[in-house]
Amino acid sequence: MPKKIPIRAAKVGQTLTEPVVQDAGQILLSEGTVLDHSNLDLLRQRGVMLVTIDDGDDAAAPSEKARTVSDEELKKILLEESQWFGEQRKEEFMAEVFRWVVGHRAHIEGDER
Amino acid sequence: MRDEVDKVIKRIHELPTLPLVYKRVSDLLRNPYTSASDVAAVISEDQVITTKLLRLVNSAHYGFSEKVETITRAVSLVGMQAVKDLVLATSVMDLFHNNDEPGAWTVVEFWRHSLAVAVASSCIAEAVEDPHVEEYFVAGLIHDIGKIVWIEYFPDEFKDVLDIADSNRLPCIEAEKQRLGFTHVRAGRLLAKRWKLPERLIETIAWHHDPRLADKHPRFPALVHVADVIANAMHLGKSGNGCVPPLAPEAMEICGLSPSDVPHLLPKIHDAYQDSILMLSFWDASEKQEIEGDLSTV
Ligand SMILES: [Fe+2]
Ligand SMILES: [Fe+2]
Repeated sequence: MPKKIPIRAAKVGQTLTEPVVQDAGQILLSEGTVLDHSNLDLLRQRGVMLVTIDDGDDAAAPSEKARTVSDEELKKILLEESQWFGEQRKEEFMAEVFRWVVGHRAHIEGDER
Repeated sequence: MRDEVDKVIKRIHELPTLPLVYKRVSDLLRNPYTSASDVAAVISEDQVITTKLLRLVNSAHYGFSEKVETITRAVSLVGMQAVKDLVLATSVMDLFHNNDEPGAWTVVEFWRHSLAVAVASSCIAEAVEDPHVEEYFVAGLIHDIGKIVWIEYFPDEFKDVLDIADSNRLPCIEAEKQRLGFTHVRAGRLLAKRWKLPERLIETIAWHHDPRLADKHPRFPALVHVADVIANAMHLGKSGNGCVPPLAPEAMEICGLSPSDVPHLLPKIHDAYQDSILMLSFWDASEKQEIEGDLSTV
């Protein structure tokens, strides 16, 4: 999946899915270029901030991760996080954050057992 | 209360100034003919900042493929403006060492929170394709600098603030109003003005709890505000809140974030925070000697 990433997260071996073009319109690297140490340094030196690469990433939502805590423990996590978030856990954006945090804790605490 | 306010203001005026190297680099950057080696020469005169800066540039946050061995190389890779910001960040983190713990809340936890907000700010900037990723990182790192005034000079009063916030499930800023009649954003703004920080950082420090009030650079406090709420929600470090501070909906609009960004954004923040947390170790007292002896890389 093509994805725009910051230059500092770009790695040797990744392939550009879009050319890197400077403000003046000059193409620094063309589409399909495989990043190596020297062209990465060149991009950094020219102040390029973002590149588009194909990383095949499909980040999994926490709910998709295996839930490994008991129902009792999950209830405890839900209660603690509900108190921590307060009423704003019902608002759209914070509801997503709440869901992620609960899922993440359930996953981590399950692993620790 | 009035006495407390006067005491706070007096203390802020007694706080140390930033190291000369920051002012000199700032002055150099006002000259369009300044080169990377001019900036590197000035930074290299301060050996402690040089060492810390090199460690920062070699940390996972930057992820350069090869070790950056010299300041000249660091300046050419990161850019002069970003290096100036990093000098500021290292200088500010270095100014405060008080290890008196107000309750269970330590200076290290404070810096963990600051680092979490820095990392979250840069991840959000990346997510919304804002090119000023590094500037947001530094803005996030110093957004709560006013709290350092409490830790340094008012540990007892601040312990009360933390207790009030904790037992009433209040944001720290509300407890500060109750106990001190003075908030960390007000203290931070005075400090930032005294240090003559860039306007975008002054506005971040002053308005990160109420980004609507920023008039010159509203995107900085808005983005750091969202990062602060997320870092608190994710329990990354501790900043003295008794609950997740309220999210201002207008900040979301200014940043251009939506709920559908959460499932991708939060794992990134989590991983970037874990990678960057090692950065804090070089402010640990145990490592201080090692750093000061480790000057051969300049
Ligand atoms: Fe704050
Ligand atoms: Fe904060």
